Amino acid sequence: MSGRLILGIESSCDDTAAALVTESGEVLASVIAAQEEVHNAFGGVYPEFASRAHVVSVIPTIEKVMADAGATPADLAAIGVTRGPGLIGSLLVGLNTAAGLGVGWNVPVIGVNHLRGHLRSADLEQARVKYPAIILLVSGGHSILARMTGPGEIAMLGTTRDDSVGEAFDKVGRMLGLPFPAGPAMDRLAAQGQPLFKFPRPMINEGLEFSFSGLKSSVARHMEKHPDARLEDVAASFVAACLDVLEAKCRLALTEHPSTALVVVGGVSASPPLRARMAAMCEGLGVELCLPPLRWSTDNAAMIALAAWDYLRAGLYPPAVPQVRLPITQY
Amino acid sequence: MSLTLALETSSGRFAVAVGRDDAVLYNSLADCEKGPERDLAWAVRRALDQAGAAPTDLSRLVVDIGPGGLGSVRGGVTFANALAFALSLPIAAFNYFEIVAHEAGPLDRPLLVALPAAGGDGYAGLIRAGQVVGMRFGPLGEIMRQAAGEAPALAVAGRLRGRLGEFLPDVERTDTGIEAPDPASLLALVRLHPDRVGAPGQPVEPLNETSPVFHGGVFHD
Repeated sequence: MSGRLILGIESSCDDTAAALVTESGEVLASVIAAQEEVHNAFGGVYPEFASRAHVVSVIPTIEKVMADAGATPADLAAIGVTRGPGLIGSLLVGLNTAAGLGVGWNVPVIGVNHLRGHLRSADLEQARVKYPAIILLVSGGHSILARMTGPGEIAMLGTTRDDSVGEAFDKVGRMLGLPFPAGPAMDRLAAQGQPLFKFPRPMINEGLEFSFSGLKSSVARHMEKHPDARLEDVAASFVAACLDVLEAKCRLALTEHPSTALVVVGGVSASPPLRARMAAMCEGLGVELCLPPLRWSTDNAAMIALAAWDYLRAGLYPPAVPQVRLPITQY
Repeated sequence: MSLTLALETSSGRFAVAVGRDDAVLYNSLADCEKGPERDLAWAVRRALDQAGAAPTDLSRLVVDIGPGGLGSVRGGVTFANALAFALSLPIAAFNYFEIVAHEAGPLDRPLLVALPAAGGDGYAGLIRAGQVVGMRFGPLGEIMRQAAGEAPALAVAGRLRGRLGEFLPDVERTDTGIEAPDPASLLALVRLHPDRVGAPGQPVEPLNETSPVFHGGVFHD
C-alpha cells in the first residue's frame, strides 16, 4: 500500500459521511451531512428520500473532507465504503461513488461491514479496547452482543429477535411526541420523571438474546389506558426498563464469557444514563469500560475507514455490492 | 481529439461505450465478455482497456439520467458524478426520452414512449419531429391518454409499448422496437449538443417522479 490514509464513506441509512483516517486511528478529517430535516415529518427514516439526499450530498461531503485534511488522491491507500447492512437505496449511492472514485483515482475499493465499523469506533483517535472484550452494539438498527478477541476476531453472542433498542426509543418517542431521532429528547424527558410504571423487561432472564417489541407495545397500551399519565414518568419508566435489560444482558455475557473489557458502541451508546449504568456495573465487576467519544457513537465514516484498515492488512476485498442484511461475523 | 465515456443506466443493466470524435471505439453491447452484474467499475475499466485508453485520457462523460430502473439510474449517475469529480471531467446528461427520440430518427407520426414506475404508475414522453414535447409521471392510463391526445396513429417505444393497447385501444400503433438504449446514441447526442456539457466536476442528478420536467408543459397546443 502506498498511501497513509483510507477514505471512509458511510451511507447505510440517513447520514452521508466521509472521513480520512490513518492506520493507527488518527482522524484527519470527518464530515457528516445529516438528514434529520428530511425525515422528521415521518417519525423515522423514509428510505427513498434518504437515498435521494445521499445522491445530492455525497460528492460535496467527500470534497469537503479532502479539503479539510489537505489530502490528495496520492495520499490514499484505499477507499473503505459501507456495503451493508443498511437500506439498499442508500448503500448503492455510497458504493457507486466509491467505485467511481476508485476508477478515477486508481485506488482499491473495499466494501466494509457497517457493524464492524461500529465495533472499531472505540479505537478512533486512541486505542482504548483491551481484548478479550464483550461488545454491546446498540443503535437504531441493531442490538448485538458479541465477544472480540482481537480487532477482527468476533464471535456473536446474541441479537434482537424483533426491534432494536434504538428503534424502540424512536417508536416510543413518536408516541410521546418527540422529534426523530428520539434518543436525546427521551433521555431529557426521562430525567424529569420517575419510573412509576412497571413496564415489562422482555427476556431479561432468558440468555443473551433481546426483544424490545413487547416493551414498545406495552407503553402504547399504557398510554391508551392512562391518557393523563405524565409523559415524563412514561419516558422514565420506559428508559428504566431498557436499561435494566441491557445491564442484565451485559452482566450475563461478562459472567459466561470472562473478559477484560466491556465496549459499548452504536448511537444509543451516546445515552448518558446508559453510560452511567454501564460504568457502575463495570466498576462492580472489575471490568474496564471502553466507550467511544460521543462523536463516534453514531454513524460516521471514520469507523468505516478504521475497519477498512483491518481488511487491507488481511488482504480482504469483499465485493463492493449492497447487502441489506450482513451478519456481524462476516466481513 | 476528445475521448468520451458514455454510460447507459435506464435499462436496468449498465451499457458502456467509448468514443473519440466521430468514432465509436468500444460498445459493451457488442462485447461477448460479460463481467459481474451491475459492476460499473469493471465495465468502465474493460471499456477503456478495450479502447486502448486510461481513465486519465478521458475528456468528458455522457450519462443517461433516466427515468428507468430506479437502482441502476441512481447507481450509474452516482458513479458518473464520482468519476467526474475524481478526474475533473465535465458531464453531459440526457434523459431516456431524448435518447429514444434520437434512436427513432425521423417518423411520420408522433412517438409515444412509455415506461413503468412503482405502484401502477408510469412515465410517458411524447416526441414530435425528433423533439421531446412533453413528459409526465402518474397513473398509467391517465398519462398515456394525456400524451396521445387526439392522435389517430402513434409510433411507440419503451418497456410498456406492448401494453399501450389497454389504454389506447382506438389508436393505430406502430412498434419501433426501441426499449433499452444503446450507449453509442449518447456519444452521438453529445456531439450534436455540445452546449449540454457541464462544468468540470459538476454533478448531475437522476430523474425521479418529483423532477420538474414531469410537471408543467403541455403535450398538445
